[in-house]
Parts: sequence; C-alpha cells; structure tokens
Amino acid sequence: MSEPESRMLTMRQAILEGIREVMRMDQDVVVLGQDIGAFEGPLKSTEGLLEEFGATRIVETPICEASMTSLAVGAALGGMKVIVEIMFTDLLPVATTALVQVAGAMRYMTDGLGSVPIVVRARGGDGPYRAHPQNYEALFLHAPGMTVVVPSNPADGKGLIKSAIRSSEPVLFVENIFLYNAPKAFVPEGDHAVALGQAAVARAGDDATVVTYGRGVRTAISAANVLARRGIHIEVIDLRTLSPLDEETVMRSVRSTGRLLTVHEAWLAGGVGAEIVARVSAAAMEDLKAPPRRIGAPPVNVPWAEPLRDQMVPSVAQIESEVMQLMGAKVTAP
Amino acid sequence: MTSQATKSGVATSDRLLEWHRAMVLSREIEEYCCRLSGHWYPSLGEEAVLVGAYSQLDEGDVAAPHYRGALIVPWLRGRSLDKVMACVHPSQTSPTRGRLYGGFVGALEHQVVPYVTMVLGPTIAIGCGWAMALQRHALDRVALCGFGDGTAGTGDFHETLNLAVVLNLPAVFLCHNNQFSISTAAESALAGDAVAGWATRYGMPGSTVDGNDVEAVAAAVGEAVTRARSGAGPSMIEALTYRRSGHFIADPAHYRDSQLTREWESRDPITRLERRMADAELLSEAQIQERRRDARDEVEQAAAVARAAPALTARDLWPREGE
Repeated sequence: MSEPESRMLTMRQAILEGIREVMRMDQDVVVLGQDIGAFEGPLKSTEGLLEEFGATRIVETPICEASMTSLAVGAALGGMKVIVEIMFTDLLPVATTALVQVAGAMRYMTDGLGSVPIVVRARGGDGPYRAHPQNYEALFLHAPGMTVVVPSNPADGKGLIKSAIRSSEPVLFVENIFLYNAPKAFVPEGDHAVALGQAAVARAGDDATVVTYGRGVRTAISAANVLARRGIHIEVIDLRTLSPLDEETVMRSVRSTGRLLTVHEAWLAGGVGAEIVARVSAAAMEDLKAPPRRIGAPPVNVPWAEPLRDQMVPSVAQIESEVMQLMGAKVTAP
Repeated sequence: MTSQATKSGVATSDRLLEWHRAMVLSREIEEYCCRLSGHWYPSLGEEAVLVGAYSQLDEGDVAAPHYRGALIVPWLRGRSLDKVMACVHPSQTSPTRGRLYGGFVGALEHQVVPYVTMVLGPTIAIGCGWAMALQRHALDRVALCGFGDGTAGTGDFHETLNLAVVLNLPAVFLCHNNQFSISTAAESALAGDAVAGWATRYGMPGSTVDGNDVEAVAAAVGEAVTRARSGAGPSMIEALTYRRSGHFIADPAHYRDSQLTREWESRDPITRLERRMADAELLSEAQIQERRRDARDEVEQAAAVARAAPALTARDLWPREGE
C-alpha cells in the first residue's frame, strides 16, 4: 500500500486533523481554554483552529483550570461538546474536582440522567522542552467515571480524539510531549476512528508481554528489536485507553506468554502498572511463569536537571534488563 | 417574563398567593426533613430568598441552586411534591435512586443542576457553563446560580465571576447570605465589601436586598434576569438573611449570639408576607392557618407515598437493565 507523503503527520497534526473533522460536522463542538487563539495553544496544540472556526468556537479564557472545566461541564449539560485545553498535565490537579467529582460523577450520581461529553486535552511526559513533566494520569483511574486516553502514534491520535469527542462520557486525553512533533507516520484520511477502551498489540511475540502506553510503546518496540537479536520475542500491548482498561487483550497476551512487564513514565505507586499486575495476578496466576515486574518513575517529583531527570524515564536498557529477569536469565552488566 | 412585579414594584395578589404557598411548602418540607434526620441542613427562615429568586425563572431557564433548601427549587420548576419527598426517602423510584443525598439531587429534566460534588464552588461555574450553551443556541434564556456566603470565599466563585463578565454570560448570581458557613461568621471571613460589593469590582451590577422580604428578592432577581435575558450580561443579588438553625439541625450553634437569632426569628419571612397579605385583605387569619395546615398535610401525604415505594436493594448499586 502506498502511503502518500501528504498523509505522513506528526501526532500533533493528526490530533488536530481529528478535531477539525469533528468540528466541521458538529457545530456544538467548541474549544475552551487559555491561549488557544492567536497563540495557537501550548506547543501549537490548537494551530489553525481559530483561523478556521473563529472566536465563537475557539473560546479563550483566563487562567482558571478549575472553573473552565466546570464551565465545560455546564455547557455539556446544555447540549454542547467542549474540548478543554489544560495545556500540561502538571495543571490537572487544579481541575481534579471538576473532573473527578463533577464530570466523572454526573452520570452515576444522577442515575443515568446526566452525561458530560467533555474532552480535556493536556500535554504530559518528558520531552525536548524540559518543562511541565509531572505525570498525573493515574489519579484519574482511581476514582470512577473518567475515561483516560493516551495515544502512542499519530494514527491513534487522530482516531482516539475523534472517538473521545463523540463519546458521551468525560475523557482525559493526554498527549505525550516526546511524541508530539516527531516522528511523522501514516494517518488515514477521513473518518478514521479508534474505539475507546481497546488496547492494540503493537508488536506480537511469544516470550513475554510488555504492557505500556504513550511513549512507553516506542521504547518497548526499540527494546523488542534489541531483544529479538538475542532470540527473545516480546509482545508489546499498547493500552491506548487506560480507563476503562481492556483487560481482555492484556489477559489473552499474558496467558499466552506467561510473563508480564508493565512500563510507564508515571510513578509506580498506585499506578497503571500496579493495577494491571493486580488484575493479572488475580485472574491468571496459574499461567504465570515468573513474578510480574514493573518499570515506572521512582517516588520523587520529576526533577529539572538532565542527569537527574533522565533517571525518571523508562529506557530500552531497563526494559531489556527486566525482560531478561523475567526470562530467568542472569543479567550481566552492559 | 418577569410579570410578577408591576411597574411600581408591587406584586399582584396571585403572585403573593403563589409565593406564600411555595414558602409554606418549603418550610414544611424542611421541618419534615429535620424530624427525619439530625444531619439535615435546614433552610428554615430562608424561604424568601429561595422562592423570591427561583420563581423568576421561566421555561427553558436553568437553575443551579445552593444546596441549602434546594428541594423547593425543582418544585418551583414543575416537579411534583411526591417526587420531591421521594428524594428524602430513597427508593427504587426516587430521583437518582438514592445515589445523591436527598437535598442535593437537583432535577436535570427541569434544568436544575444537582449538587454532585459536596464541594462548594463548582456549581456556580456549571450554571454559567449551561448559560453559555443557552447563549450559543441563541435562546433568550438565563441561568440563576445560587451560593452561600461561605462559597464566596472559594477560588471557583471568583474565577467564575470573572469568566461570566469576560464571556458576557446570561447569568444571575444569587448569594444566600445567611451570615454563617458552619460556625464561621461571614463578617469575619470575607474581606472588603463582600459580597455584592465584589460584584461591582468585577464589572457587573451588584446589589443587596432584604432576604426575608420575598417581594424585594423577587423584584431584584427579576431585574437581573431581565438584564441577562436581554444580553446585557451577568449581575449579582446578595440576599441578606439568617441561618436560624445550626449548620445541621442537631448542631446547637453555641458559637453565636442567641439574642441575634431571636431577633431574626421575629423577622420570619413567611409571617411577614402573611401580615402584608392580611393587611391587604388577601387572606384572613383563618385562611392563613388553613393554608399552613394543608401544606403540612400535603407534605406528610407525599412523604407517606415515598416511604411506601419499593426499597432499594444491593442491585440498585448498578445501572438498570439495558442502560
């Protein structure tokens, strides 16, 4: 299949294409946030939107993450679909009440009467900009009601943002900064949607399952290439949606490989990896050939200086080493 | 249309009778709830704020009420009394099926925002967000956002006032200043010329009214609603009233001056309205007593219906079949 150069997009471009396509079809979709107009959003996250849709649909606000999110909830109750720009994941805790206690709670607490179709876009993870690195996505898995999405590639970025905007549930959509502007990849034209709540097998393998998301997928695939040269074939599961979790895809893989490693940039404690290990241990302990292992950030706030910060992000070498331990091999120092 | 008040500001006799009925009903509902639970947060004595303000809304308008006394708001928007009382006796047929505390359930089918958070502040922004949707759909509808003096200390409150002015939203902010957030006196907790004075600093009209005078509340809120409906933007009404009970009914409220409480009891908004109606020969003393008795009976009957509804079971933790 030929992949025309024009369809090669960055994650950022792909997400924006998805947003534009939905906004053209549905007049009730608006974008709300700070610096999303002439400035075109943090890291150009809203590039071209003001030009195409005008100030009536690209609604600029002051800095007020908590109230702009509650405002979006109210607008959603009034029949609109609001994409809220929260710039960076560091700022998510400010909007936690509006997300967890309002948006996420509305449907259940009103016995199904109210639904809150909002999408909160935020950029997270380490990246070339070396700013705003704290990863709080796991906070939003703990409380019920929020859908949490983290795409790992441009095509999924487009497909998932379209599904997120069309969803009747509140969605937190985390855009990884490291993946944001490179590298380009093929993105299908037109109405390409990726269903929420479905993981993907990013790389098939028989020896061990690596469950990850976002930037971790890319690191895990690099590790898979290295490990393949040593005759070890890992299966990489890209969760894509962290909540609700696609337990079936994870279980199927772990049952077949018998080995589980989870990888993410966010902290280990109470994280996505902990949740997956708990579920796998409860449901598939008899299929496990080795105790599950996890890679995640150590329990310190993400520091600024490079030599410190580089310790926080999962590396190919770490994955390689952890997989070798799962395989029961002696790990030799590189 | 806010046709309740004539040009001279004097309400028609029909309006007075409607307000009286709603205020008496609100009182009886709250007293019933206080008998039900020591942890009820009553609005006894604050009926003029609730009824005067929320009676100014029309079909299609949005209410985002403050939690205290909120049960009467859906009733004013068309919810039956049976359904109101079903909120406080959770059953399989109650609104929200027991998920939300009885007083907080709102009524989305009547565009009344539920208080789902147990956090004060977001409700104001939710009301304003709904106002934004009304505005975008080119409806001349408004959102009335209620809050207490305690809520006025939150960041969400200040952020939302700013947003409402900047976005020129068709919103009305209604402060039920009952002078206490739990035990904290508003005068010791809010800086400067709180609360209506702050509104003017944000660039919207703000005025203070006697919150125990239903006609005054209705006239002020009616004017603010008309302004918002015309596209002229938000405004704030601070209705000065008094929380006659403790924070919850079993709270003895030792932290405050009982002499002051007695003074405010003597300014009871319902008695005050009744005196006015008696003076105008709209109601006789006997009729007033009858209306009060009837309201109490109606509440008791509705509560009896609610108590007889099928009880919740463990299955009700989950959505109904097919949802």
